[in-house]
Amino acid sequence: MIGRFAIVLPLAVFAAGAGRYGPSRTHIIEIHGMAFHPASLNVSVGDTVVWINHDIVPHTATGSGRRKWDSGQLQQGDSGRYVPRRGGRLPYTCTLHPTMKGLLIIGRE
Amino acid sequence: MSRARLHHISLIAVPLVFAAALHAQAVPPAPAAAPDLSDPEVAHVAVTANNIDINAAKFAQTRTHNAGVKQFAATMITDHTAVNAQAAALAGKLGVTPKDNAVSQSLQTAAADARKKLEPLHGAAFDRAYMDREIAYHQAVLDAIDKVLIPTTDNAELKTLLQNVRPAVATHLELAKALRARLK
Repeated sequence: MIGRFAIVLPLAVFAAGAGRYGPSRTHIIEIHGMAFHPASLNVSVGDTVVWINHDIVPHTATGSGRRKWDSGQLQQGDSGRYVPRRGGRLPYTCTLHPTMKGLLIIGRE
Repeated sequence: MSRARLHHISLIAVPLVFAAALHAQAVPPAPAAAPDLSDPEVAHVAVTANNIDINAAKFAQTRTHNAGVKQFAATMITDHTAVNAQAAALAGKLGVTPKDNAVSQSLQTAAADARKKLEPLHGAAFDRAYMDREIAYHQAVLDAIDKVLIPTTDNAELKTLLQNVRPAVATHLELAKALRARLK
């Protein structure tokens, strides 16, 4: 079942409202098998990044660098979102399972 | 697959490896004969196994002063509670109400023995002993999942549950080993 979620995105869902740098997109990061899929993702400022947890156990997506962002605990089926406002590299982790690591590479457009 | 076969597999493998882990010993080979337990009793064994690790973690939280050990224990409580909820949901779907039995009681006895070994320990000695126990416990569970349960289970729902639980157990083991290596 979970393997079917392995084909991951980003889903190029164009939002109706355009952001500062053009139409914003929504990117989906699936959490399954105790890992983020994809583990590394290129996004743009103003895009929406959504984490969806498919695992039995809860997870978080939490900024582990200078930007302190935290989804809070995501139970199975829950989702959390983040909209980066500045460019750069944003490493993140699951605070419950620190071996799980991900990276957002945020471009300016 | 029949219910009887599910019982046979679970009851040979799971209680023994859990009991072995609780005693921090090598996993013994499966015996020629396994106790014949009912569906409700099998469900009770699964719930008991999760509860044992939850209770060990709760005790660790009251005893340790190490932030890493506290976080690990909190994760064990959170995750094993979630697994128990999933197991309970599957049991409910299959119409099974957990029932206490001799295997569950033997697991609880082994857990009590393990607790007695931890009771007199404090500070770094406690942290090391608790993490050693967690490594042995999760390694035994992982071995049971990989070598016995998943390969021999035909029931699709049970196999899926085992496959979904397996990465969490492996991560727990990885976390426990990493944390133990940092303890002095």
